[in-house]
Amino acid sequence: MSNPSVQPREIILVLCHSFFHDAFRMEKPLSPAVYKNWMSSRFVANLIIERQAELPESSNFAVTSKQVFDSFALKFHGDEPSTKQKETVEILHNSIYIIKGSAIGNLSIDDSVFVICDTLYSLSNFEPILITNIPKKMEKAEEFYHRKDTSAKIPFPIYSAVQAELFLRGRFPELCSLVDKRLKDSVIQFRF
Amino acid sequence: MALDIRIRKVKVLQGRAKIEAEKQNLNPDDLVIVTTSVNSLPEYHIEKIDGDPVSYLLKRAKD
Repeated sequence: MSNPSVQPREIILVLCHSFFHDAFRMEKPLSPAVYKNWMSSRFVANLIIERQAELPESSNFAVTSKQVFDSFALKFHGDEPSTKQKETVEILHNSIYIIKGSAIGNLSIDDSVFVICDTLYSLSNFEPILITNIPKKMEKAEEFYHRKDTSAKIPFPIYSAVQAELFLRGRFPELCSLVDKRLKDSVIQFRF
Repeated sequence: MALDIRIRKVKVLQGRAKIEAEKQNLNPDDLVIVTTSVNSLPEYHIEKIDGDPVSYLLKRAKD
């Protein structure tokens, strides 16, 4: 019997730096495997923007740490950004919740996203999903948990962008159809 | 630099931002970049996003 006082957990995407670098890269990857991750990252990034664009400004669908976002921003616009490049980064900053706290600020890029996932899972009604295109991230997460307890298990899923796209298509079919429609009308047509 | 710049869906806009969007005959599901600047009273500039937002932002940043 279900407990009526237990609220269903709300999905929140925790973004790793590899996701940003793939979603916002301009050049076509040459390898078909990388190409698939690139396309899925772009799809998920579009879905995040699509969903955030209609949520109240106090609610968030995606989150990351300041060091992850700053690493992406620096790679995206370099040391001398143009006004339009700065605006793009600011727009993305307003579509994704960036955690800046001093407790997290001293952590490595990897540890910062693990801490965010664990905190969201442990202290809230969120269902965090870590999205990364780095295959070794699962091993790194295990190492992170085993530092204190060798029997500890990772409580949240870790998906590649391809896996995340499949999962999100099941959870948000209408929004995903809208993203597909917009992608068909893309202002940049990439051919492989 | 603008006070605020973010992507919103036309159907959630309110007040003077909504009036600005209506002047452009946009659809409720259209995505727009709303740039807020302050000139005594806030002013809202509405820019329609064509196609998917990621590609639009990349092209916009490059132009």
